[in-house]
Amino acid sequence: MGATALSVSSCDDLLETAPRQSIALDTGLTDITGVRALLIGVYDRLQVNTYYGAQMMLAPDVMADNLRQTASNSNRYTFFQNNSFGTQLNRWAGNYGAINDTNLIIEAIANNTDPTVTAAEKARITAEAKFLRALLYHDLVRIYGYEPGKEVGGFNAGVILRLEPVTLKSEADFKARATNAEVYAQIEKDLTDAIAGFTTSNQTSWFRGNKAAAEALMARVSLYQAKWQQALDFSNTAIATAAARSKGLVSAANYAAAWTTLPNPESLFELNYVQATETLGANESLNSLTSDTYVGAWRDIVPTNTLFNLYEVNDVRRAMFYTATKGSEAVRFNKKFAGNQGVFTDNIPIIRLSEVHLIKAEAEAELAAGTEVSVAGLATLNNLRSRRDASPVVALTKADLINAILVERRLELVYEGHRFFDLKRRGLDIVKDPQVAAVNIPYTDPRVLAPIPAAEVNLNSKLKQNPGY
Amino acid sequence: MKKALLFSFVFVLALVTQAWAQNRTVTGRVTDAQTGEGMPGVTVQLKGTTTASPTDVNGGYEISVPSNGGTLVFTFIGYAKQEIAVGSQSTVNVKLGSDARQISEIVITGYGVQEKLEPAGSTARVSGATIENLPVQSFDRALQGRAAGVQVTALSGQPGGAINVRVRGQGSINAGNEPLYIIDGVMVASGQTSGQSSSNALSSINPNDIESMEVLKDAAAASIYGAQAANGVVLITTKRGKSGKTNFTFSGQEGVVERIKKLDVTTAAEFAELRIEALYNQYFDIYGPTVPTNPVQDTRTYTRNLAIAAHGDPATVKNTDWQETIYRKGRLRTYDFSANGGDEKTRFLLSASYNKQEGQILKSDFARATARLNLDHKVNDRLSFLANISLANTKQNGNIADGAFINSPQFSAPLILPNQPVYREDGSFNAPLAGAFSYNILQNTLLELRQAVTNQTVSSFKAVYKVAPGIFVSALAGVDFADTQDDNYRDPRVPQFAAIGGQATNINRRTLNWNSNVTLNYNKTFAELHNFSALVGTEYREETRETSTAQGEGFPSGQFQTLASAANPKAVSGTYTTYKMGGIFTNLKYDLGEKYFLSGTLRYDGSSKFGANNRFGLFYAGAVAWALNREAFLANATYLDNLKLRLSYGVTGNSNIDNFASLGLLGSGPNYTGTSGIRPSQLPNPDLTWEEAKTLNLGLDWSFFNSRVSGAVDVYRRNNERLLLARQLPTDTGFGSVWENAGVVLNEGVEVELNTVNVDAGGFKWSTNFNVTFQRNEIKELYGGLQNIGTGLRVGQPIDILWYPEYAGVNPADGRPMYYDSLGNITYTLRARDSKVTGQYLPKTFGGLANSFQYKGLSLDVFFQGSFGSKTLNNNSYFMANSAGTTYNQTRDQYTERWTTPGQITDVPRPYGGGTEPNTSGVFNFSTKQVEDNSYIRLKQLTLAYNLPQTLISRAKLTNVRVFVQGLNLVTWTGYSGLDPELLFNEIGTYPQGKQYSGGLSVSF
Repeated sequence: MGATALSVSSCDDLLETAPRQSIALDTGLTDITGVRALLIGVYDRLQVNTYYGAQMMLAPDVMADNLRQTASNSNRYTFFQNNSFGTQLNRWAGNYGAINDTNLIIEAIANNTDPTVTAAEKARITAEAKFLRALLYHDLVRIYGYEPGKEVGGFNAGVILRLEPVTLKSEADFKARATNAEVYAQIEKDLTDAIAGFTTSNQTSWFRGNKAAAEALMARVSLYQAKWQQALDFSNTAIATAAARSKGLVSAANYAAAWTTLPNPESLFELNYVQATETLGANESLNSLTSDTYVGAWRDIVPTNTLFNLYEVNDVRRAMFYTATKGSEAVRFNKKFAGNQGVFTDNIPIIRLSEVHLIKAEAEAELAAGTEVSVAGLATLNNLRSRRDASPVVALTKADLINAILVERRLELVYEGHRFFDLKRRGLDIVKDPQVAAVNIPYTDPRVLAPIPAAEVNLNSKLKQNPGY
Repeated sequence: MKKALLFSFVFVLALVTQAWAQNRTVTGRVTDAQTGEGMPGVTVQLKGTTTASPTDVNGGYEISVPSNGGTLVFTFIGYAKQEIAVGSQSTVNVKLGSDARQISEIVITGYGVQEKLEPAGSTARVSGATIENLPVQSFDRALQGRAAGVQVTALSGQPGGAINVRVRGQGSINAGNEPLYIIDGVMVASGQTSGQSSSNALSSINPNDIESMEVLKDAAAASIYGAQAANGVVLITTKRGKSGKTNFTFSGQEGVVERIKKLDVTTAAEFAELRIEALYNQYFDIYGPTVPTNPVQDTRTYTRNLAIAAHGDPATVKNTDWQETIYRKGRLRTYDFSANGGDEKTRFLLSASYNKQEGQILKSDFARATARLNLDHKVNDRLSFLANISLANTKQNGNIADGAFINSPQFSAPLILPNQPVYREDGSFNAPLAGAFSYNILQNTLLELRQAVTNQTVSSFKAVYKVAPGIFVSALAGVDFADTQDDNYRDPRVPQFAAIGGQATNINRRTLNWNSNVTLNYNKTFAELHNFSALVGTEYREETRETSTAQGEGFPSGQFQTLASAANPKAVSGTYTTYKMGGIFTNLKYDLGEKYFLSGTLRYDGSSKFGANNRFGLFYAGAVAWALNREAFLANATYLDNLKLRLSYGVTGNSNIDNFASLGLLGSGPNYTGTSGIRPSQLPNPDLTWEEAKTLNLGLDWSFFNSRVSGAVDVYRRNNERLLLARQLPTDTGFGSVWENAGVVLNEGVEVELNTVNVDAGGFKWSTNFNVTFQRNEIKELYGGLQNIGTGLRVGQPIDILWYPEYAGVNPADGRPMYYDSLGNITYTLRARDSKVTGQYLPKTFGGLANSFQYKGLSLDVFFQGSFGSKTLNNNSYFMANSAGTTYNQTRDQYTERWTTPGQITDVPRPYGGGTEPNTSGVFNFSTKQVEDNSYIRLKQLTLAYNLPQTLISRAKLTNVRVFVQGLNLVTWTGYSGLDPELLFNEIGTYPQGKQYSGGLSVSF
């Protein structure tokens, strides 16, 4: 009883323990199964409610003029709606966590010498990691920095670039922000590599990174930099790559059904949610925030009347809205996120083909010489509109056409996280909707850029805060 | 009864030695001076030798003495020591009187039992008698205000809820600051046991089973526990049996629990008025007199209609007081039974208890049944066994633990919009409600099950073998095993859970924590002057915690609440964690005629938590003491009972960090497309090692006039060095922090204990026990020369400061909220740089004052406890005092004090929709507006008791009958505006303390 025959020399053995829910950081990725699992982890990171799960989809519309909160609400988007000083999308820590994952994956694949791992798989994993890293960096740089050429007061800081994995504390050094142009260059480099790495045969599903999605993202990134020709080229290749896999714009008749089809036929990259394990529930899901499909939903986010009135009566996208009351207020909910994957759960498209067509249209419109109205751009735009049962646009000037495309982006991409960034990349002021009673935000206002988390700036003297914060 | 309870096996055993080399025998009988009964187990010792003998079951003894007789010393714990010169007598009969002073002076240090007069360390003692029959669920709460240097804060008013104990401030920034608890030799796991509501692992022990609680505060007292001792050690000793007639005690008590206060919030009409103004102010600012709707509308009419649509017309709207729906008068009851007795060889204490306490908030309660058997058996003169077996079953119902949760009754009830009735006209619950507080809180509180059932044992076994006179080997094995099942059921009748058809979650938690030690003791007195003792030992401890979780959704109806009825199995998960530690230790003590004392301790410990390179640590302490009263120059000071100076220095360790903190980890958890993934969760630090606390202590004990005035002053300085610090990393690395040994935190303070018997005449006795602690905490160093980490940790400031901008009130001209910027100028837009130190959470002073009045059988105990110099952020008021910026109900000052007219001086801004006036930071900022002083004095306990006269009860063959009434938390004096000033950090949805009244009866026979 109780006799602990213990000597110091044997103590070390008696003190051995090992965790069971974790594996070692230094050796866990030498095996391909660890790398595969880590890649799964990156997709998981996109799903949280502060990212594509909800905020990245809704806040850009609420911060601008597409969506608003109902009078009675859960207060989740009040500060976004009021553009309260200091409240902005905050993806700093979250995105860099995922970026480190991608860095680890890229390095682990480069170092993998297991002969049973095929070259095709290695290429695909690296391409997926680079595609994801590009997406993560682009979201960071559009949240925290001005687009190249659109700087206010010459402020051209982008974000910190980390392309090597951190596995030791000695590697966790302090870095300064790269310029916005440097960050964009890196994003393009990653996308170029990803596009080259993806083949049609190694593509797994639309729920994972793939060639068409990488090309589409390259088109989007080009659009943000006003590299119109490049935007046009990559939107064309993305459309072609998608077409090769029998993917095209859906018809007006099939538009509503597309949103209940998994994946959405227009999705080039869609975030999949398994209801049992991944639902964001009544508290945080897009479904709960934007519709009343299920009892107990928040039903907080509705379109502004201004947006709704932009739809033509026959536009199938108008029919996605339906009237309801919340408390005593007459409102409209939307069927884009109607709980199609189960209770409070939907798949979330991150890049849809219609966005690529709109990028193409905008690039074409911009590429027209002088003040010419681009015939191609108008055709691209009207092609999309015809698939929504909207009447063709008749543009009189180049500016009209570009405006029409921007309006079309509101109509097509509402609830998908674009409006705020569309205004920003074009240097436009935010004109708040009369229904929200808030002051307008000029493009030069500091609030157009999100504040870098104060703790980071405090810690890292090389890290410059954005102006005004 | 009392002497039985105070009997200590180890103490007696350590002194029982064979007599040798003497030539005649003295016999006699020892009796209780009060009752005349024979006293078994009294130690009779020949002074200056190790010759000793215990009395038998009748109090008789026999001892060999030298031919000249010598002096016999009669000792029994709780009784005054008597010395009698034998001379030529062959029979020496002695009457021992109980000694209240001596009861309080017996302390247990380290792995032995000693009198307080000997050790040079700083300890505080709370006797079981002090907390007897107090309706508290865990003994740690009973320490509050009773021991100098020990800061006890109830983290929740939930019955059986969490308690925070800090001994001498806060030494660690990121590692745990909880002391080590040892119950009868078992190092127990403390902390929360359940995720369902605030809970406490220590609540499995019935406080009435406790004989004494000792808090070892300085290094000299605690360093024998080495690596776990940096935050102090709390030793709990339970009551033991006594040989002789079996004694029975039964006690029972019943009472009520009710809320201390309710928040004063706006009525529905007042809130509707606020919102009418708020929307008007907002819309008028943006659009002027007309709103650009199509067609344009008059702003005043438009906003009034908007507000009335949502909140009702102030003229007609009906008010609901949601707070009234969730509070109640709870019932409390406790029943205790104990029996103790035995013979010369075997003694036992058997106890059983049942305690049930309802909280003042619906559905929260705590029920506990305990059983204990403490057994002592002497096999022969050399070998003895001792066993402590305790079993407890606790069942706790509660609500979601403290935080800003909309399904928390205490948080949401004051915030729910009051224009909404609880029930619809048809009698059904009105749910969901409008706005952020969408739960009908009465419905959810009634229908949601948050239950934790724990079965726990804290048991130990010990064997002691006498190798030779003065040399003992003892071995102890102790186990603290707890199985907890958490049950959470979210009822489909609650709208938020209707779509999923209800949800049940079961979490099974298992904690197995055991320790074992072997020690060798040696005691010897040379030349009747040099007392020497030595201890060497080795100890091993292992703790494993496992959980498994299963969740299911889709129940046929709210009647079905177990997973068996769930249509959709959901998440299944589990956790596992463990650590091991082992060490060897030695302690040497010497004193010269109990005048000069020397003591030294060494301990070498290893822990699995630390990096492979730095697993082991050496801890040590040294102490000296000087009993001035034994010096010749004070020989004439007959009023002096004791006057002792103590000085100690030592190093103890802290390892209260995550069990795998030194490893680089890829953790499981992520999921995508039905595949599970992994994620880096932690960077490695193979050099990670112990945090060290270096404590210097200077103390003075005194006792005058036959202990009419006694007390102690201790001055300490503790430097925690090589802190276990979560070094902040730039998050662009993908990691938030890494564990490192860096930084220094200083704690220093003065502790004063003063005990006086103010009046003791004519059967009336008034005594006072007072203690006060002044403490200071300062971060001396961080890492890499950094002056601050984030905003909260700053060199030169205490740990846990409040770092907020200063609120400057309201601009009298326009009603906008103003703040001071970093330069002290008025600003409307706050920047990060405008924040500054606005207070500290750690109280600067705390203490307790107990007055006891006794007259004949009647006694009155009045106990005050207080805490001063701390500030808190009233985080509740961020939600409740924001000028109706959002649709949460507001505290009434937001209505009565609001700015309405130019020139008005007030602190409450004009109501404003959204809370943010154009181009200002608005009201939604933490600032000194929410920072409040939470100092308080509380009438913590008032007990009136009557012991029926012996003459009356002895006829009924009873030995003691006591009736009592008592109250807890009866009155609170504080300037704090929130629910409860007893806070460790911020008030945010905290379950407040309740007020208790109870009455009971205790009978012994």
